[in-house]
Amino acid sequence: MKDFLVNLLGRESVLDEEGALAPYREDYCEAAPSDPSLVAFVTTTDQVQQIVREAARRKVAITPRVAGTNVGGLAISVAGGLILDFTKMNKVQEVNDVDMYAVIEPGVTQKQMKECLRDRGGTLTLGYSLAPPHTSILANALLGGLTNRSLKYGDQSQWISGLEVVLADGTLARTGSWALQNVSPYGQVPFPALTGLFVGWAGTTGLCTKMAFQLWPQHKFNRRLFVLTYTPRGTFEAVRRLVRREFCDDIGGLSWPSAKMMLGVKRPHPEPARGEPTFTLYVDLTADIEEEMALKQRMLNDVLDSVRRENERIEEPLDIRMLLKINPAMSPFAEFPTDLEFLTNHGGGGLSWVGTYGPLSKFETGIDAGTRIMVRHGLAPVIVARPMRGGHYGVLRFVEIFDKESPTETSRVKAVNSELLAMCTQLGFVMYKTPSWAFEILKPGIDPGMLKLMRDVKTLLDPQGIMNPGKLGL
Amino acid sequence: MKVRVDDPEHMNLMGLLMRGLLESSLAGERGRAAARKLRGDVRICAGTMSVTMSFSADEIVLRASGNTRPRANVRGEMKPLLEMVAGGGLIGPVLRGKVKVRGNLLMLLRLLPLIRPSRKG
Repeated sequence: MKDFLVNLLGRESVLDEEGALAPYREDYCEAAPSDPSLVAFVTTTDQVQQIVREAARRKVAITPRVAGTNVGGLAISVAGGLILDFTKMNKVQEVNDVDMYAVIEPGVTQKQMKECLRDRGGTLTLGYSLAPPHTSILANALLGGLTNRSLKYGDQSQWISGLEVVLADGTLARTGSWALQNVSPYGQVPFPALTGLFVGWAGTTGLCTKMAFQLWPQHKFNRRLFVLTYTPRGTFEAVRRLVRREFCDDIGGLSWPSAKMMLGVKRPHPEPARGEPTFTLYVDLTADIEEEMALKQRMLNDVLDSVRRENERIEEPLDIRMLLKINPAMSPFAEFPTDLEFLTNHGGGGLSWVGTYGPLSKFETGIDAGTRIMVRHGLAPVIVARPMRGGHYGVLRFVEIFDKESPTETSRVKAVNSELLAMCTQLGFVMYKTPSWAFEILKPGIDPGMLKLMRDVKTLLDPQGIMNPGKLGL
Repeated sequence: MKVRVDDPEHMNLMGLLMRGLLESSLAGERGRAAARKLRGDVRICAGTMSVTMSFSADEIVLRASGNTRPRANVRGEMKPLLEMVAGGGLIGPVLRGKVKVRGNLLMLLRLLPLIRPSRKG
């Protein structure tokens, strides 16, 4: 396989030495490292097709990878497998300012797309995940990740309007409206929604080489306000009321340790300080005229007042610009995409989570139960909780940082994650970007017909099992 | 002159915000000059949080709770207090009753240049 790759890509685009392969053994999380035998940097769809055909012939497992920042081991290959590194396949192929879509390759990063749209005049925008700026938009979309426009538009997979995919036999396929010649990728309708064959599958059904996705208008005025709250009930009653008023671009909730970590406390105590707010909501408002912004701020205060009248303490909204004047360490929350270094560069190197989607009605119960689990294990409860897609569902995510070199800490994270997953599942939350360990736990509870369908789809699309094997427990 | 947070793992959000402000301020001559004139404790109560700043010759120590009786107190809801330290000034909020002060007013006036944002070294 190595000779084939070197002939196709050139020696400099193929890695096979131990030192060069080392960064590909793992990702941020506690998943067991695994050594690939080869890493190949691809730049064109044709190369991907040729490699897949050869890998199919030789039955070599292929794992796609971009930034390597996954927190579920999804971009770690099986031992001896081939990793296709897409970081150099990173062209923004098209931006349509009128029809509001873009076509990108897998290596296009959040930062790159932001700069691209800014250079075109800044009339369009997209949402950004909380992952670092150098991470792939396409990977987040295919894994159904969230962004800071997810309240309005849902998880990022819901913005996909078309995919170009290399199937396990090397066939190139398009899904969505652009499957018809000379039609733009305006949306997935009206063809059968085959995009779903590649969304949420963690690269086990095909390799996506292009993604068309929807962009959104960039408004003239943007304001990010922080609302400090003191109880889960007050926090999420406010969230539920705000989403129904439909004037916020985004709402995100962060538990108290997140803010403290951003302000320089590496490992906050598991209990909050006396009198301290326990949650921070960030509320994004946009407008095209000042009166519209003033009205939206009035509506925000109106909703918060309605919750305060029920004996909930909620601070007045604080503008991020004012907070930045007081403490520049808040800057990671001023603008997205952002690098939350307190999570990704804390010395120990480990970052893990149980991130779930589920009903807003269960947020308080989930947060109370999750907090108890984390505190019992001596961890400060770093929690992200936020509404998605008009409030029809939400994110409940428990985050841990740990020292990857410490077996004790790694074991603790595994134990905490298992407990958190069990609790969340019982409450009706489903883990997203699902790691293999979690899928195995969920499997007995998944509808047998759905599981059979998944196996049948997998067998149909990847009969030799070369596409990112070991993921999704298939 | 340095800023030190006593027991940072237990420090509240207000204290951590104040640390950044003081560090920025001490990077400028105006802030350093103000700090040199201050001795003793000042307590700031923002909503349900409080933080005590203890001034000595070579450091400012921030504590979530102070055992000693502070020389001066500043109390208010979080937003007006933060607006004050973000450069809004002390006099206006005090006159409007949004911020209440008690104790050694001269010390508070000396404190003002230190708790105004400064980004210049």
